[in-house]
Amino acid sequence: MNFSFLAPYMLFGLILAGIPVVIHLISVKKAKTLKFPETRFVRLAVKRTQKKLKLIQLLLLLLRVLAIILLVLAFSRVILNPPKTGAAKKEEPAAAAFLLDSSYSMGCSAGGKTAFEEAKNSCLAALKVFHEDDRVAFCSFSETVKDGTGLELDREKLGTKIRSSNLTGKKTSFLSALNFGYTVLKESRSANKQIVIFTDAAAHGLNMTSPSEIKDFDADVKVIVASAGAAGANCGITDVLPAASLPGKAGFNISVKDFSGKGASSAEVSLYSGGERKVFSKDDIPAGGVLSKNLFFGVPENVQLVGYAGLSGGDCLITDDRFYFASSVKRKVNVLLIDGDPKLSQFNSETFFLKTALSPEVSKDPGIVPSVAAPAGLLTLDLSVFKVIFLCNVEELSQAAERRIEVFLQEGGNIVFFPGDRVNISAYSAVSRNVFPAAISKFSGSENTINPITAQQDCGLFKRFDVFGLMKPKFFGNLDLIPAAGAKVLLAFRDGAPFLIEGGQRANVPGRTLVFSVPADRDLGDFPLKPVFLPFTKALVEYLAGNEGASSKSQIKCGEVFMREPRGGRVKSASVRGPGDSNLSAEVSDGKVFVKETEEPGIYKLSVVEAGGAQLSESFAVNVDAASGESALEKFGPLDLKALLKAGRVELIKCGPGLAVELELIVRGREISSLLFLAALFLLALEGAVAVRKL
Amino acid sequence: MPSIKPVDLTSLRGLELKARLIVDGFLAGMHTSPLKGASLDFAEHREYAPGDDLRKLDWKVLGRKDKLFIRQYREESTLTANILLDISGSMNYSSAGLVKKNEYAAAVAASLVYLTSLQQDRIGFLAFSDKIEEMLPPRASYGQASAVIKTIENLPPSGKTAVFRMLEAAGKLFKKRGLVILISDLYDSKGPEETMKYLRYLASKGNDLIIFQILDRSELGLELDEPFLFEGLEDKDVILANPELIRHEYRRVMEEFTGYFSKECLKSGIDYRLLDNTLPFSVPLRAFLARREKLLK
Repeated sequence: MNFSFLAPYMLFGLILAGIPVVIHLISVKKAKTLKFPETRFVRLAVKRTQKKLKLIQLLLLLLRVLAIILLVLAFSRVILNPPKTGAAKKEEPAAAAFLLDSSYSMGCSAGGKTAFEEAKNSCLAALKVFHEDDRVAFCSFSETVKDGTGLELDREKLGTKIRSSNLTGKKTSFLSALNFGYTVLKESRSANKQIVIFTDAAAHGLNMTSPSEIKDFDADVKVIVASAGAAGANCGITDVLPAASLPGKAGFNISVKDFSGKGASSAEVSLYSGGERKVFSKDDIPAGGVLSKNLFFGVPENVQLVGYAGLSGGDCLITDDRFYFASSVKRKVNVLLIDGDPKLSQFNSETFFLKTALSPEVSKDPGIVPSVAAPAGLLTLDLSVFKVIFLCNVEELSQAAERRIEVFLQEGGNIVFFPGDRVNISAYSAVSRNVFPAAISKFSGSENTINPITAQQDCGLFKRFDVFGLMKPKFFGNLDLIPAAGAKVLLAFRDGAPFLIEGGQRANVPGRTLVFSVPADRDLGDFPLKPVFLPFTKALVEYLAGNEGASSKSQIKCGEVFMREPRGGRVKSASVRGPGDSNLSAEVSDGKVFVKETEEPGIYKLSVVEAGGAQLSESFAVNVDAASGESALEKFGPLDLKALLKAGRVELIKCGPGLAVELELIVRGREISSLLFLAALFLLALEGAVAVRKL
Repeated sequence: MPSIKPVDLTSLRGLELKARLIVDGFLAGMHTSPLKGASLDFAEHREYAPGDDLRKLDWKVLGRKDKLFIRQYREESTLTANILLDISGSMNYSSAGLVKKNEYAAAVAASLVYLTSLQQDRIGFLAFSDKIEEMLPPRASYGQASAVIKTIENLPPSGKTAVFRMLEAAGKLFKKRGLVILISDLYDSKGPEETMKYLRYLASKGNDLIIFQILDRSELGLELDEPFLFEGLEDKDVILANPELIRHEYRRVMEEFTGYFSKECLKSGIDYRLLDNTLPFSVPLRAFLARREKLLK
């Protein structure tokens, strides 16, 4: 039988045991002198009672000291361990579920070893705490549970599982892990069950867990959190977005955030591509703030650019210091501007402002090549060379033109309508809603402005410029549009009327259709004269030409599913090469390719062989979700976990050399704090009785 | 007149005044006058008053004048009373709110002197510590009583207690047998046995003894509530003790001490009275009168 303590620091309180002795000494020193007629009888009384007095004083002192010691031991949470002899072996076998946190914050390293390595070693050490007949289950977890086993006796198998566990780029969620633990322990009949979580105790992971979602909760199961790693300063890249391009250059906007509130000076932000650093910049990151940096470097056209943005600053978590991208360098985008109301003076033309904005005279952007044509061009021109067609104040669409537009959309082209005063409302009402995804009800002549708050945040268009610039233009009228079924209002006026509508996505039709409720010239407002017009129209073309949508994202977060739907036809086979040239599986279903194994951040290369033999290859980037809060490295305390598992018993211990001992105490020992409290109270009561009676 | 309590004395100035008040208060509370005794010498007639002894009625006067008269006699002999007052250092003590032992003892002694003078007895006085500090030989005059009271008033407590030594000296000094009143705390340095030995010696010389042992209430019960370093008033002996812890045993010791005198005095025909400084003065006065009456019979 031996003792150990769950809160050993409380043992410093044993110093308090000296208090009764000190009080006794002080009281003796501080005794007042009393002049008394005859001390002979006092002396005699003292002499006669001395033996009894000494006994009482000793008893009182002992009772007081013992009571204090018992109280201190109770606060130190004494664990009583049975002897490791035959008796212990006969006790009921225990059952445990080991949950190893493999979220990317476990890559945090305060000095040499990462929290994940420390947790893994502790997990292996903890395995030895359990007896041969104890059953142990294991899983690694981040957002989801991985490599989960049932309750096993085979330690070798469990050890192999633990050793082969890898760090992922995913976030922490204790929900899946706790559910695994409670469910697997439900199978066991043992009365001694525990869930042991080896984790960096990320508060983010706890916040993501709701108690109501925990299934098979059992209050008798002890939850032991073995905390690994120590939080330090951390900055990370939260996003890398393609920036406005310059001729022959690729531009990226890099967002760097300081998570620890300590900031960083002269942090180096670099762009790497093709294994070499292309450009870098040294900047200060404000404490707790965000640094937004645009970096450009020259690249040849028509290549898919893969690489990453890197941050060098020597913080404790390097995983979020790298953000991968796979972005196509802007190709030439041919834009057709159909002028439905041509004028002699080009300044009065419907398309003048659009053309100027898309290809300004000063600093011509070779990426966008606008061409102007009359409405007849819709029937005569080869539309397949254009990526976007703007229909500006076109009176009506003939059936032939409508058919050509439909084909154009099916081939991935995009249509934008800028209706004006020449528009024949009744003719447009007859046009298919697939081509013109709105109904024009009437002309409204009221004064209006755009409400930028209504901008659809998930739409890629509004991520490319400052939407609040849209507050400036004033409009003196507009066409009242009613969105067709499936269509959505991307932007609205202050009075709620739609300003911009996008038609619903159709299967096998990658092209988009957008309808403005105002013309592209100055007939109904000063929009073309405002500074926002230029970035807005360019962003509009880039948005449409980039064809960004859920189905075509080339940048996902770890754990998300990457999906591609090749346009060519049936998929014969698909393969994926992950970071470090690892071969991963790709699932093909319904003509779509799904890549589910995206746990590691990096560049993934998807190769698809179509039924016709055509081969497609595309790279996509997988990154950690630094903006999620996982990078904050904030740790939770035992009380937070207790609040979550209200009815359960929760212990928080530290990974490291002492873990096995502490774990053994919790698993095998019996906490006797309450007994000690009772004993201390009894002693204090006895002391009171003795002190009052003085025997 | 209401009887005077010991604590009331603190507000009065002059020991004689205190003695008068004590004695007058004491006498006023009695049903019969204690001051006139039986004698063979006729002195005068006095009209009967309720409470007078009917045996003293003059039947002849009643038959002749049909009026009730009492016959009064002149006392044939007077009593010699010697008061021995302890003024040692140990008498200079009182617990909070009480009269000091020496003040209480002085008041008792003065009251007895005054009462004795009223009875026209001869009064002698002797103040002592470990030696005789003051002595006035016995005389029967009011001036003597006044002188004794003044002497008592001007005696500060000091020195050690040696009762046995004073008793030995008194045995030699008192030529005429009489009443000896000892007022002391009896803290004799040689112990109670030595004191008792000399008390018996004094009694053997034909003296009638009354012992008033004066002790403070806390001396008897050790009613103190915190540990003290007890320092003797006479010998500067020091001892640390917690009254709460030794109280029980201390009381037993004190009971043994006072009980010894009580038992031994009873055996020797000595009147022993233990007085704590809260008891009313009527107690010693009554004891004195009872003893005196017994003596005169």
